[in-house]
Amino acid sequence: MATADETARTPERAAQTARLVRAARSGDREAFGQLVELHQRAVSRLAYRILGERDDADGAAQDAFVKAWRSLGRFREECPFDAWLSRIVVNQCHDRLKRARRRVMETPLDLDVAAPSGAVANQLDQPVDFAADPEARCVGREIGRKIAEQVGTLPDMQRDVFALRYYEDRSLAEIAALFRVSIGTVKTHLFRATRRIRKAVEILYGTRLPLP
Amino acid sequence: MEHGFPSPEHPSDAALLEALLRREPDPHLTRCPRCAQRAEAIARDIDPLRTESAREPFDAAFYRRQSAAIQARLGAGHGSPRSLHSLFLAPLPRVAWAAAAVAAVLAVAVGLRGPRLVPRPVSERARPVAEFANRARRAQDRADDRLLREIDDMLDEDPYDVDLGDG
Repeated sequence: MATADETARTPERAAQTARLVRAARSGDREAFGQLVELHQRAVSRLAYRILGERDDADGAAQDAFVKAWRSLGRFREECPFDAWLSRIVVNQCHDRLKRARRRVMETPLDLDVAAPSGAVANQLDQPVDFAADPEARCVGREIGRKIAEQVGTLPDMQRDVFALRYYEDRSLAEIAALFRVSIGTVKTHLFRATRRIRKAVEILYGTRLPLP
Repeated sequence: MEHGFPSPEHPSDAALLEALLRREPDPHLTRCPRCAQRAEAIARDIDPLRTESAREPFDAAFYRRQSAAIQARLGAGHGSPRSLHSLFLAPLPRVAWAAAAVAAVLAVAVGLRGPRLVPRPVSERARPVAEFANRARRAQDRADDRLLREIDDMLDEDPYDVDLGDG
């Protein structure tokens, strides 16, 4: 059975998207609502893959749709709507990661906290409660976050191709058709994007990644 | 047996990661279970959807709630494609933007140079310059006259006309 993501890629679905985009661009909010329903699964999953946390992914997906609605006037149809929307999602996730990192850096580390027994204990000795705080939850997938941060710094085309290929698992031929370029061009953008991410990860961790 | 990372036989973690990101099947992984295991560990770490339990992280109720939340935000004016910018400026195609920019530049150029586009008679154009030159000349003449008078006065004086007194 075809999944919703797969059916999203059929020509009928693309035609429906194009029709809804035209209506939404003229201010039809109901049409935009249908666009949301058509794409929210892909958008939410993409955000979840980047952020690794459900609430954050939901927030990023919502922000992405609001941003898309606001920016529809600037949407040019030479770029496929899916790719355009993916780019917005990737940017929203990237902004969230940046904000989270800034919050972590600005939060003073209070080493002396009251232990449950009442005695003062060093915070570094406390077990990390991953469920308590979104930043802590992300510690387990630090490499994934670093990758997402790097994706946010890629040139537009590299970022779009990478997001469609890696996060959305689209075939090279499909991406080439979406952007009306050759498969070779897609491969080149993908190679440059992944090589850049690899180098950044190598600089951070060396050749052996610190896996849990 | 300890895996010799990195080695010519086995790809490094970075190389495995790069292949994963490209979603390229690595033939080495089919031959080397340890590398395949390592690649799977990397894939799991960087992709939360990789684990079986997280394949479908959101249910239908989530999507309904999310859709309603987005509509509520749009209704509250969080996004407005009917802004002045989107109504009048954003929908303009790029060619129209370029044409408008060229027209604006031309308008400014005409505005700045407009009066000069109609040639004035040479005498009229030269008048201010001539007046300025005349004024300058008159001032210079006056200064020269003053200097010449001072020199004349000095020359008229008798250098020996000094009152030495009678005694």
